[in-house]
Amino acid sequence: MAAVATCGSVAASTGSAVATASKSNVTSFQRRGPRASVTNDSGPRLVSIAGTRPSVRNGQLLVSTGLPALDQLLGGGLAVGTVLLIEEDKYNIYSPLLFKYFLAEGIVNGHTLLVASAKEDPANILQELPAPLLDDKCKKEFDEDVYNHKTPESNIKMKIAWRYQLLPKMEIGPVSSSRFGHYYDASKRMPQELIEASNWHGFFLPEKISSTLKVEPCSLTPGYTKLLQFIQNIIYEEGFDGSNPQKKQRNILRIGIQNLGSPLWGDDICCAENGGNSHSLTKFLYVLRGLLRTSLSACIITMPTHLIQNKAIIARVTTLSDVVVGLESFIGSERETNPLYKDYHGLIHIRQIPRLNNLICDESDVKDLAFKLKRKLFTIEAGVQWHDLGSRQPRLLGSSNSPASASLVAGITGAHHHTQLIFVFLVEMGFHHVGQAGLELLTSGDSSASASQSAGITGMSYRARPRALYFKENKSKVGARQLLETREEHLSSRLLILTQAERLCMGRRFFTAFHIFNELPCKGDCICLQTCQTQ
Amino acid sequence: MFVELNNLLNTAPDRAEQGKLTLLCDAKTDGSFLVHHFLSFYLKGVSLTMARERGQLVFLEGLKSAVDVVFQAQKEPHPLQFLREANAGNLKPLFEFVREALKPVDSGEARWTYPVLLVDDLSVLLSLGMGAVAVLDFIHYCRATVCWELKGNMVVLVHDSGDAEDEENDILLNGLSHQSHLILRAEGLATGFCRDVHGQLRILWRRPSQPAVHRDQSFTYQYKIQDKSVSFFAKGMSPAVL
Repeated sequence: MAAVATCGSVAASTGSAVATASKSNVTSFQRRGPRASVTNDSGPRLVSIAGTRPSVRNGQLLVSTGLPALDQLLGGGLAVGTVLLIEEDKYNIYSPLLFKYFLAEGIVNGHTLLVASAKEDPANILQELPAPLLDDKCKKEFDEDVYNHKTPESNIKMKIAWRYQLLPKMEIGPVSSSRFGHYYDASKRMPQELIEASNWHGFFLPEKISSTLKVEPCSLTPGYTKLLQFIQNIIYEEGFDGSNPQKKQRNILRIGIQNLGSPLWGDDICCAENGGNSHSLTKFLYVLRGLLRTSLSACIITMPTHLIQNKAIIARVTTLSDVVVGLESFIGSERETNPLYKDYHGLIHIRQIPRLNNLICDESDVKDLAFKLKRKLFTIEAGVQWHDLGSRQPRLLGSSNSPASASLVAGITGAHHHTQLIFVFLVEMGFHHVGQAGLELLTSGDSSASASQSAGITGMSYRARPRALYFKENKSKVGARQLLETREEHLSSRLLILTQAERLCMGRRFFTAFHIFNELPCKGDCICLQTCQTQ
Repeated sequence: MFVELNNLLNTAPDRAEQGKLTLLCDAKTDGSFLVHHFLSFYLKGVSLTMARERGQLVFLEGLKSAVDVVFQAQKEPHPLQFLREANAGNLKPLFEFVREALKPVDSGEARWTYPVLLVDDLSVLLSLGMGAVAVLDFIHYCRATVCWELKGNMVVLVHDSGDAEDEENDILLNGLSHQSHLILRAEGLATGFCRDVHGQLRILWRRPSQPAVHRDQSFTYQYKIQDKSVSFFAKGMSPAVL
């Protein structure tokens, strides 16, 4: 992933020293705001800003993007002072949703908003923001898909799978603004009183372009110049950069710019390959980032990159932004009819995450992410099993009630992406010698195995006789995907953990294969891979 | 400074060559760790803030200066003055700034040995409206001053756009590759993202004065970036695989 493109700054030094121009090293990323653990003895300096938290990795102050799943993918949230660029999907259906979630999160947290658009009046955009979900309603949303229904308090400890006992439970009560990341109901509108109570500024291009503001000479298109002036004005007047002696601001400014680069902004990069203003957009992004870096603000920009003719400009725009997320909807593409994607509305690509004050960034291991707009919620799901990243409850496959299988099945979800990937790798590599990509699951030894061949393994009970999983060659060419489908069947048919006796009887490689198959922690993962290779 | 990279480059802070231009290039990945390496290499263990206070480090931060230039009228010429002009001609003000900053101080005592110019990164100058030729001119002037006149070193970073068909960037990259003595090229893996191997580093020495056998040596290593350092290993020899 490409990192933040540092400015073309030049540093020189007298002597054997080298000066860097990398802004992420020295000055701009001083820690803004305090740490989350507030102690009282240091006085007002440690007052925390609502809706922010420090990053675990580098102490940067983070704000939520309005989608907890996206926050998790970005390594905790969007850093204050950075730009989140959303590459719009083809028909601009889902990117406005992300835009609105960002703004709605600002209203719920009490941040100041600055909404800029050339197409819609910002007042109308704010009227269409989604309503925040209160906590008890939020639980009900997830319980629709989850077998683990909320029981009275006393039984909760028993029902939660062993892996998840230590995770914090959901709070019960109304939405409190001290929480980081809220859920929103896309089918309802934000209450009018919340919008009116918030402090927001709108920039609607058709109104501003006609007024005769004194414009500084700059080679940007007039629309961009006006917008930059407006943003800089707000930042200075309201004291977000700390330079105004009259105003001491301890709040975040959330800037949202819609459809930047579209012809409505007066830019022709979407119309012509080598237009006259080909540097206007990149210059705008550069100066905008300069403004953001020196103030307590975060910005979301949606850009119709699929319309930009010149691929070089897209590459430059990507380098000049910090976080880049691309949306690809399935509407009109052949994936719409693909059964693998039938529940989903599109793919979401995390193209770039910045490395702020650090050599590395928190990239997610999972690269295949899909989103869907459920009746009320926008969810992002990841990986081969498509489990919900935003949900705090483990999503369980199948509806079995047995506690043991619940614990097993619950082991699928959660953040163990790498074990899923190891599984697929194992399947591709490990059984290659067994058959030429044709695989079928069988149980061993038992005559009743035939019944279980089609449906998978049933009744692995606590008997002394070991059962092992063999993988036999099948006539039809079956790939890893079909193997995973049979895996789902297995899990719904109550595959249990082996007893100690069974473990002792099993050969080591089957044991480890079994463990990886069930995504249990397995010692010596690497060894397992090798033994399967040499089988 | 990454010790392993020093070993690979066969160099150390006290015996680095002088008068050299090093080109850092990244393709499909982020090469800023190389900039970090060279910065700490030349500062030799001094922290950045301390170096700045001592005057050892002169730091032009482009983003902040750009905001100053665009929103406030400047009286004297500003290094990033081209941002205000419609048809940016050349980077002369920037070069004047560099030359001014690197002028040897005639205070009698020679505190620092030789100057180093580190530019991060040049591709952004193209995005800001400069032509590739203007940027090459700027580098040429800097090389004449820093490398030849003052016997210092230069390290510049350029992004390689790969298949994005950025002609200006390609001109810049090819021109600089021709002029530089050492090229470090960080590439992402062709097979995509990997947790244990973050990319591949190609080291190319260009020594035109040497006999043909030693002239252009090239090595390739793979690397993994950790919290504070980068580990390098031969291709396919990642510790995760062995």
